[in-house]
Amino acid sequence: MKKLNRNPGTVFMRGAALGLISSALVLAGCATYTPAPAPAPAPESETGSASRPAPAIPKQEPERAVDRLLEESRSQLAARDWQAAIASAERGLRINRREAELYLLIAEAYRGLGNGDRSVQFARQGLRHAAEGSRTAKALHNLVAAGEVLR
Amino acid sequence: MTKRSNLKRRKSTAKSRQNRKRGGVLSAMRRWWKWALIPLAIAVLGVVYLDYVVRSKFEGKKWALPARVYARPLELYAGLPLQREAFLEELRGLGYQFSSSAGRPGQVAIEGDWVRVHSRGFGFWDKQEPALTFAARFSAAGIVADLQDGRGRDLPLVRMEPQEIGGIYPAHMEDRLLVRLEDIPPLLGEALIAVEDRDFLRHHGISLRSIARATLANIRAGGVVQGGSTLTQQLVKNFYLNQQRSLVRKALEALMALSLDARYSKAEILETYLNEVYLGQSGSRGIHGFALGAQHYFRQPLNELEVHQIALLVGLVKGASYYNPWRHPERATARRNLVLEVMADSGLITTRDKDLASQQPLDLVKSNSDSIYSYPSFIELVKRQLQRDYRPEDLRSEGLRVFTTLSPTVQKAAESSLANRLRQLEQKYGMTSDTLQGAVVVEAVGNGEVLAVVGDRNGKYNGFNRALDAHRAIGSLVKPAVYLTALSKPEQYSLITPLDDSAITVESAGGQSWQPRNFSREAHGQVPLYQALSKSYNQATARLGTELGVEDVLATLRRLGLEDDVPALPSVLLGAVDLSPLQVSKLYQTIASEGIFTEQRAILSVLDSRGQALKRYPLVSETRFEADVMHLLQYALQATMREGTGRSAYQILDEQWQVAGKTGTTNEQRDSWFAGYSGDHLGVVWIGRDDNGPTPLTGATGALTVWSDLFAQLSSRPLLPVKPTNVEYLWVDPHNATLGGANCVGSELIPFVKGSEPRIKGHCEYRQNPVVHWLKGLWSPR
Repeated sequence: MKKLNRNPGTVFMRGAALGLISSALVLAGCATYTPAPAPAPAPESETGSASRPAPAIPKQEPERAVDRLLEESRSQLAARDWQAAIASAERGLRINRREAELYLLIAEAYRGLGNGDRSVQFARQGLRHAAEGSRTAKALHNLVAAGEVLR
Repeated sequence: MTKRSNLKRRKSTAKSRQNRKRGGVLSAMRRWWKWALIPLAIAVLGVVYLDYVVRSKFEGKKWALPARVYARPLELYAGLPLQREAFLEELRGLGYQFSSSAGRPGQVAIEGDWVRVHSRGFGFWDKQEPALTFAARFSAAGIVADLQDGRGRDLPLVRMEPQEIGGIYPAHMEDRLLVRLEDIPPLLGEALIAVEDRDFLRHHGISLRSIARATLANIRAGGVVQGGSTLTQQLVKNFYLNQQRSLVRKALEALMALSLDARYSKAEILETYLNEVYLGQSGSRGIHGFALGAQHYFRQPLNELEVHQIALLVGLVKGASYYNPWRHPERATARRNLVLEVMADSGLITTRDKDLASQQPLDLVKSNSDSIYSYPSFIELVKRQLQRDYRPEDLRSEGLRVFTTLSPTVQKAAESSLANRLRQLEQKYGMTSDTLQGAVVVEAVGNGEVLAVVGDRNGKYNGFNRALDAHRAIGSLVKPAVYLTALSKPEQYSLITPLDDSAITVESAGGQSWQPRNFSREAHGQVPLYQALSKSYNQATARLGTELGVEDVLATLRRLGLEDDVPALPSVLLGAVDLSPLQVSKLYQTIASEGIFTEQRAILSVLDSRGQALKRYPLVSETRFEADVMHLLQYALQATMREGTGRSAYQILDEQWQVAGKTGTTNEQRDSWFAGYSGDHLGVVWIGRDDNGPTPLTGATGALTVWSDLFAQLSSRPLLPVKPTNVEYLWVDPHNATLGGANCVGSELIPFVKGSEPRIKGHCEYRQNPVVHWLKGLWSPR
């Protein structure tokens, strides 16, 4: 559920708007009224907030489960256990396939395995979900560049 | 002299005759010994050979072990869409026992809103998951709301053990789960010895005392009521010999038992017996060994068995068919109670334990609940994928463990949706029963994991698998490829580009003309591009596809995942492409995954019999289409469900639940298709007739109804496409391809690839007074 915007500018605008109500009522007589359109397909914005009616199943991000798997994958990567790192990150993607960090870990693991093609593929997929300019996005860009060299 | 000499001569003749006779006897004796030595030598050689046979089989690989196939493990976490009942069903499938406290592995307890579980440990391909006590609470909306450990602390994630769903068996169809002696409950071994061979630890393979005791008992009873075979002899009979009854075989059995006992320890012999013994039948599959017996009768591992269950298994050794507890529960109960008596007499259990155990029910799982043959269509897909990497003989004998992607709950929902709906459709349209056939494939969106395969309206039928092998024209399911080809050229096409839906004639290269018609036989004039797709207009699509070029549309299909060679004929534009439901699923996976092509997977990993990873089947995916273009296509496919040919789905689904999809119908309504997806699941459904005859069904009246029934049962998140940065939503008048406004009649909020949006502002007929609209905007949530 989102909070109503309560900033002072908006409050002032609302107050001023009340003064216009009477003239609005005069104009109302000549307006044409029709029902609102049927709900259109709803996108999520880049920030993840829905701009249309909430779905029947409320969205609950299972962040803790993904965090656990990120942590597991990171430590496996640090131990150069590439296959295990990939397997853990894949488990994370089953839970949230839009988590850029998971793609980064898989891409790094494939780089560790010397598989430049796969590394680039996963890094590119991660870039779709990484916030522009973020640390993850930079790391993914670097992997794409490094993978291109390995190819 | 003569007389004397004659006498002498006679004497000497007699002597020499006697000598000759003596020499003859000696020589005969010598000859006889030679002949006597031959059988002796043969006997010695025989014993050596028998000893060799005993050793070579006992020390080598004892059994051909089938490959065991497992479903995907359920991963629980707060936020997972999962109905409480679906979770309990999963636990029942795993053989969990409902109890008051869930104090032991394999037990579950319901405590108010909470489901408390004591999980079993399991060795996965990546690590060993330990046994764990945890509790889960579910929200009314069907989501795991809380997940806590035994001390009430939040748990981030729990991975349950997977259900075993099938196997790939040796030709003789013997199945067994190997278990080591140290993993066998001591009571089981002791009870077996007490009942079958109480001198087991003292005798040398055969027991004269047992034979004498059995003979006496048989004489008293006037028939064969007791056998004198030791456990070692029984093992020899089952392990090395056939079931023929003859003196020679009995002698061989005794000799081999002596050899076995001389060479190996009692522990080794007992362990082999416990894994070898025949304990029942499941169809053509022989149930051998106590570990598999425990799974077969109780769906529980050996170490979770209670006294009465152990007694039943021990009792079945005498005759698993005669004492079959499903067919002859009274016999089985009497036999079990007799075993309990012996156990008490031998001091293995107390009299009180015996009395309590004797009052227990048999506690069997349902006789038809054996999951091993439950999913033949899916197992067929697994076998085909395995055959790419393994030899058939290895699959049947090396005891491989195959971890797959099957979701038992999704599979069951798919099977019941298809079976029920086909029956209803036949009744509704007055068709003879079993006229219609169908197939369903369900995949997880984003990773290509196949969650369910239904190849026949009878989900248990193990024959022609339509999901994999029925290649049928896909009709309008091909249209997204035509529109994707167009939208990939944002400088030329947007979702509101007007398309001409008037009649069209296409001249093909061979001089033939092709005149596609709309299903309604009506033309619709100029229609916005997204509506031509959502309402599945054939004429507009054929014209658009012809403009784009059939080759370009085929190239798009290949990028989506099409592997077959398809001739570049104009009719391809309306779906004259024969594909199986599984192949269609591959194409739509790329669409559902926003342009990421993903290899289909039914297998995650294969381990050898010792649990070592042989091969992993990782996620393999690549970007085939840009996110912005796919976002537009998804919008059109969501519009199909909201206002197009798929809208009847919302007679079954929640109105607020966002999904996307496409209907498909072929000439004379021979095929009814639907492919659609939510945020988590992609489902493809085909309905038709095996003789390729016409049906009264369209994609919407046939396959879509099955799909809707199925998706109404799934625990699945809605489709919430993420807007790519290169896409912007604008209020436009789609019928005039002009800019509109939120308060303009006929305006819709439609996505555009930046730069492809209309520039001209159209006329706006207000929905409501613009000032009121503005004021409402101020108060509406932002």
